[in-house]
Amino acid sequence: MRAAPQPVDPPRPDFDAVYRAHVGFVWRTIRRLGVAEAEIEDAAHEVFLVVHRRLPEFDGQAAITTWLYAIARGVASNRRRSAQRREQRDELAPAPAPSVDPGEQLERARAAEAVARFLDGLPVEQRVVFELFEIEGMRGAEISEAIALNINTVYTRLRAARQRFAEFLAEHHAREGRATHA
Amino acid sequence: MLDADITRPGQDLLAAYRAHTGPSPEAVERLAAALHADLAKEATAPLASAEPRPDLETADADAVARVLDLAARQRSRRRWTLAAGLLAAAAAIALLALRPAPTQRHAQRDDPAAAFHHEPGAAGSARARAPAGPAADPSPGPALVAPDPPATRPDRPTERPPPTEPTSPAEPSLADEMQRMRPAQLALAAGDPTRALALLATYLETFPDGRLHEEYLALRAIALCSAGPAPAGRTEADAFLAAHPRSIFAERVRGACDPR
Repeated sequence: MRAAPQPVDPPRPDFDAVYRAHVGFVWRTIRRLGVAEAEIEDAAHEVFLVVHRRLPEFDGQAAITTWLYAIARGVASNRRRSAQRREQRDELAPAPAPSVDPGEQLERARAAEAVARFLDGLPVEQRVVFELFEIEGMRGAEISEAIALNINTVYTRLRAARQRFAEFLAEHHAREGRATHA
Repeated sequence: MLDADITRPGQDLLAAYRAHTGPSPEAVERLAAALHADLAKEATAPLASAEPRPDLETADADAVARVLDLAARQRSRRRWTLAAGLLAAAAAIALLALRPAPTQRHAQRDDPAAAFHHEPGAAGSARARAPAGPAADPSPGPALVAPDPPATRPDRPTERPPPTEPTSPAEPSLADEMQRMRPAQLALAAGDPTRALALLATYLETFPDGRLHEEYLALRAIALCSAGPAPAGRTEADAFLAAHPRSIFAERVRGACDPR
């Protein structure tokens, strides 16, 4: 047997770095778990407070996204309204940053709506796997652990969802082409 | 394991969706500012309910001072906890003499405000914990008795063990919950539903009000259904699906418990 290198303590992840790298993932995960649109930011706030408190305990055994997913799930399932915190955040709101170019924003919104329609048409079990893999960039093993699903099932569902996505893409581009030439 | 990656146009669409459904740059900055404000308050607030464990070797002088202050307050709280524990024990004996069913505690467990305080470092932010010194707690009762047993088990007050964490009453940690839940998931994934059920029972005993309760219920239903044809699994699956129709586990519960 090949001698495994002695594990060394990985450097503790820096909270700010974790926040910057994964706030989008946490945000979308909370949304996916059914938290109301108006409460997503507050729920994300809650998730990152837990993350900050527990970060020293994160041992790196699981991927950080798997760990964050579990925290987000816990927070989403025990959601409590916290109007006070929301008000405080609004007071702290920095001046708005320059917005994205409106044309670009519109284009992005149209593309996002198309993908949302595709996702809505997927069976729920395929959708969860597809979103975590293709949109969040999680690996099969991480998804398997995060949602307690056999790894082979993860890939079976992913394959099926990809097949549907390829069909959707073909239709989408054909539709776009017709619209352009009309 | 996969046939082919998604084509570039497809990836572009998904990237647009990712950006559109994620936080706006303004929201990212707003949330970052709010978190920093909360964390700054937490660093200077009176004793937090679930203390971080600073590394003394690398801590700066301020952090060392905070640790020493924390230790002093912990000692104080232990003394208070012991005294209040004796009072609570006396009260419990009196209560048992009058009425064996601990309805008051169950009512407190169902109280959203009580659940609110179970969220370590989250809903119970520094602001919410500001009066968190033990003497300021207006309802030390539920925090001082041992965790309630699962609702399905008969109450056995005389066999109830003492609190396992007297210095951190009623503060289940999400990390601890995850750690306790994980072996059950792994046992189920490994095709050992009996062991998964045993591990889930341990989880419930440890965290009767856990935040992973939905996951617990789902895994239990799946494990029961996987363990054999007994109707218990089907019953639990039906109850779970009725209570959590949108759960991410719903399909899996259906798959495990519905042979069709």
